Amino acid sequence: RMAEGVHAARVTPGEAQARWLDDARSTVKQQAANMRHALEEGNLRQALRHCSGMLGELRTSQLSPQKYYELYLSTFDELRDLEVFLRDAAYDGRRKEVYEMVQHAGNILPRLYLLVTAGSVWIQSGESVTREVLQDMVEMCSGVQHPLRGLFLRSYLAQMTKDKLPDVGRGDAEKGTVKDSIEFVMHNFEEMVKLWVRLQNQGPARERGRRERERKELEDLVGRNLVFLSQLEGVDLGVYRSTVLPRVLEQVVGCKDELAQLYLVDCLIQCFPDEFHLATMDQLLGVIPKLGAGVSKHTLLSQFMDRLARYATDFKGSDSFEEGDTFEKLLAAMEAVVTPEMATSDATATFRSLMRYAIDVRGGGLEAVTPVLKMWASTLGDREPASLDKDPKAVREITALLQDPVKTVPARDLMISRDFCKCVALLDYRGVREVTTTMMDADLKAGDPIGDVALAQGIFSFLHPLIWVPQGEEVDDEDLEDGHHIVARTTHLLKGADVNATYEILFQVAHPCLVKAPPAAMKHTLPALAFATFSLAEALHEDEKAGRTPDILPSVVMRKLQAIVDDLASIQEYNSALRLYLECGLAADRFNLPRNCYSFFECAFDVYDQHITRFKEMEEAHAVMIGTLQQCSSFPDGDREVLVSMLTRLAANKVKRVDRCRAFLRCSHLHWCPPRVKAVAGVQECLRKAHTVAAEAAEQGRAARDDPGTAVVLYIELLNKYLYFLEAGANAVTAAEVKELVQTIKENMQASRSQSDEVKKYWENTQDHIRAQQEEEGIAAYAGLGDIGV
Amino acid sequence: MFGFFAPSAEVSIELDGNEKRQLVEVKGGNGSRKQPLYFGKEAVKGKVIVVPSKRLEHNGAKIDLIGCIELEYDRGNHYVFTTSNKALAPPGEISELTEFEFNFDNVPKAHESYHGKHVQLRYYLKFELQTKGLSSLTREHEFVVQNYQVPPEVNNGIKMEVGIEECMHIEFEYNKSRYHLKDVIIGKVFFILVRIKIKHMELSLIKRETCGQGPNEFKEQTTVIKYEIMDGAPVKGESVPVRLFLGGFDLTPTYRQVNKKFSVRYYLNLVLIDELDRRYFKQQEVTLW
Repeated sequence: RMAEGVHAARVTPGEAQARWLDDARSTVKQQAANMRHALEEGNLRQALRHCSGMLGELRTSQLSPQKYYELYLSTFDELRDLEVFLRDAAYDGRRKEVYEMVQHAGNILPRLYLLVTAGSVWIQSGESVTREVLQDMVEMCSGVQHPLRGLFLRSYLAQMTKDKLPDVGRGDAEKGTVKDSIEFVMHNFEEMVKLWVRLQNQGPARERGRRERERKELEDLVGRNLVFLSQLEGVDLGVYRSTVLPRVLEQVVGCKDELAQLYLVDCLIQCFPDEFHLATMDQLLGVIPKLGAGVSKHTLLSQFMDRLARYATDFKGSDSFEEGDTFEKLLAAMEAVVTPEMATSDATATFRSLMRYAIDVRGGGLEAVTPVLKMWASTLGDREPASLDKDPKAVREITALLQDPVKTVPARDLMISRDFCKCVALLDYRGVREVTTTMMDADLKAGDPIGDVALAQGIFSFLHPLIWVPQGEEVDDEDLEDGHHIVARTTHLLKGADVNATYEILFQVAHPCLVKAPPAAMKHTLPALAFATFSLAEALHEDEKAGRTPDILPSVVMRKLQAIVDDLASIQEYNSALRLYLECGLAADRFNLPRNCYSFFECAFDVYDQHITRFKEMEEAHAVMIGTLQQCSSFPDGDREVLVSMLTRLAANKVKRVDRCRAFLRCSHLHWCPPRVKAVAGVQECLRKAHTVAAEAAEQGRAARDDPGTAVVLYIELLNKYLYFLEAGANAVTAAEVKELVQTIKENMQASRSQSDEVKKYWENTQDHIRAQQEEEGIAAYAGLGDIGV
Repeated sequence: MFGFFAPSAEVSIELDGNEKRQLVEVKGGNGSRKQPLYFGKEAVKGKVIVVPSKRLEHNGAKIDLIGCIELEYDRGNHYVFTTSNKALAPPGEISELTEFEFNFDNVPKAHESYHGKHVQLRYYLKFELQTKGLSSLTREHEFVVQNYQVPPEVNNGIKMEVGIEECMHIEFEYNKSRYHLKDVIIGKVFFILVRIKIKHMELSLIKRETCGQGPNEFKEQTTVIKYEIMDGAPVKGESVPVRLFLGGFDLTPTYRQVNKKFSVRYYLNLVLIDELDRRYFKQQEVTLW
């Protein structure tokens, strides 16, 4: 006995359920078999007795809704046999009798299942007054007040009658019209809602959650009535508006059950066609604020708006969709539904639906989305900005909503919209950065020039978060730099219709904003501003060349440039500043402003002298300076000579031989800048110095028992320089010198144990070049060389 | 002794039109049997057939139509409320098959046959052939009497409010107070206040048979119909329909006072059963006819 007790204790509720269900099903099977046997013998009375016995199993209170449903399905299948039997012609004319006969069953539940079965057959036979039978069945079903059993019974009633309901063009109008069908289905629906709601109020309070779950499982049984209604052809817009909708809404408001309210309104929205909703939206929207506090009204409103939007998209351009004042109504509904207590994420989700509507239905232009943004900002504006840590859901929703209109409105139009910016401010700094970045990326992708002051002002104020990081906020370096790059790229887009406009944009908007920025930002943005200014200078120059007298003096632009680069130098971006000074010099040179040009060179030399300390940077700076000077043509000779000698001195001061050799090679060009400068002696001087340093390097290599590889490269470079001047027609080198150098290179190549492939290739290419040039007819310079042994 | 004087003739009673007459099943005693049905004023007509096995001398033949009430507690003391006598033959002799025709017309049969638990109301024909000596040759033949009743002129519905204070309050109505035996009871139960957890509701029809008087009064109550009309607990404001087909159940009309000997009454009993299986009920008499 104890063992038994232990065993019993181990049976879980789930197992017990399964066992009960199995028992019930086997009884159902047995009784159904008996019923069939009796039917085969033609003994209806006996068959009904067995059928009652079978249906008696549905009287159980032990099963969960899920299991009860399974049991219901088994009996449902068995009842088909009885139905088929009653349909037989043998019962023609006797169906009323059968309908009465089944009512003798002593237990109400089996009796009513039988009643519905017999009633549906009676209706189908055409022998009955449909209206009366329908009414009788739906009223008799009130006898089952038990929520679960009642729901299934009424579900059976709905199921059995759905294809037999009188409708437009179906059934004998004398016996019943679609009006009766509607009345019938509505009645059944209303009763089911009551039962369904009542299910919640049964049993102990602690099982509330479970009951809610179970009720969700049953909701379809209730909703199916609305589906059946919607399938009636006679339920047209007029009927829907005057009968169906008001009655359903009355249930919705009256039931005071939040689960039911949410489901039923949703069901209503899903079941009936969109044109109905459009025509009756006042009624539907009017009811939403009246729903319980816990009903997520915004979800319903969202679904409704989404439905309308989809519908509108399908019928765009056709007459079927008349927008009318729908949007205004939706706005009003939003006002009623979105309360101050509503979570930011939910409220925003609702606005997203409104936005989708604005985009899909109202064309999605700025003027279409603005009212949404305006209302959104004003509804949520006084809330704490949403932060990812505290309310990630809200951040996701807000970010998504901000990006929704980008599909139809140019990013730029949104950025400069005050309402949009107010909405962006619903996010905390991190969120704002993210949205700003995305929007700017979109704008940069479009790449349209920013052509007027107002626009530039709008965009720069939108960009602000990328430049300034508020105190207490942290942004990792990579993101910060990405932000700065965006600002820089935006600066490149600043270009007005004419130079005046560009000047205003650059120096009334961009410059004041950028020079106040933190150094880390200026590092990227000032060069961009400088280049934008070069473009302006270029444009001015073009105007000048075309003979127009620009309103802006080039010298003014030069001063501005000077200031920009000075600022860059002041934040210790020396390499960048040096190059920009040189660029400025070049620009000044183009305007034929040698004095400005010279002063820029001065600045560049100053930076070089004081701040460029690494060999590599020095090398590069030296090369750039020489390159720039080569391009300048406006210097008076004296000034140029000073700069040339300065650059040559810098070459001589190089610590590393390699650098020094190459610096001399570069300097050689300074003396050959035709047509103005053709100082062959200077060239020779430089080449000679380079040769000496190369020889020193080779000597040094040998002395250190090191590989003379580096020196060979220098020799080859020198040889190339020889060839350059040879081809340029500067008589700087003789054939003997060339030959000798070739010889030296060859020796060094042989002496070298392991030359890198790179050097070998370089040497081979050089030799190939010489050979090719020699073979080519008519190149005097090479012909004069004679055999140099390559 | 009885065997020795065993009757020396076979007697049977044949009623006219037997083949067409409706037969009624009568329960009671041991098992059920079928008996011919007569209406109140109908003549009981037929013949007695006597087939003697030998020559039979007799002191005359007669036949009685007897209506009597038998009370169980008073066995043997049958109360005959009607009797009618017909002499069929003067004293004489029967030597071959002889038929005696009889005809009871104008014999009032005011009461209907009734076969209850403790009470029987029976009608029978009793043929008697007085033979020589003490014994006589008899034969009885039972039949059933039912009367047509005129539909009641006044037949109001029943409407009633009942309740237990602060606990439950219901109102019910039945469409009539007098029901024909094949009638349908149609009604409705309204729930005005429900504070108890009701499991289900039944409507039953109770038959109460009363007989005897004073210390000898016997009451027998049986539930002839038990019919569930509601499953589950209703809430305030609900109403539940009632529809009960009386046809098909074994019912008799209501008999208020049959010769001051017995009465049969019917009551509709509305019963609510709560979760603790407590029963709350309200009985209401209805007249069956």
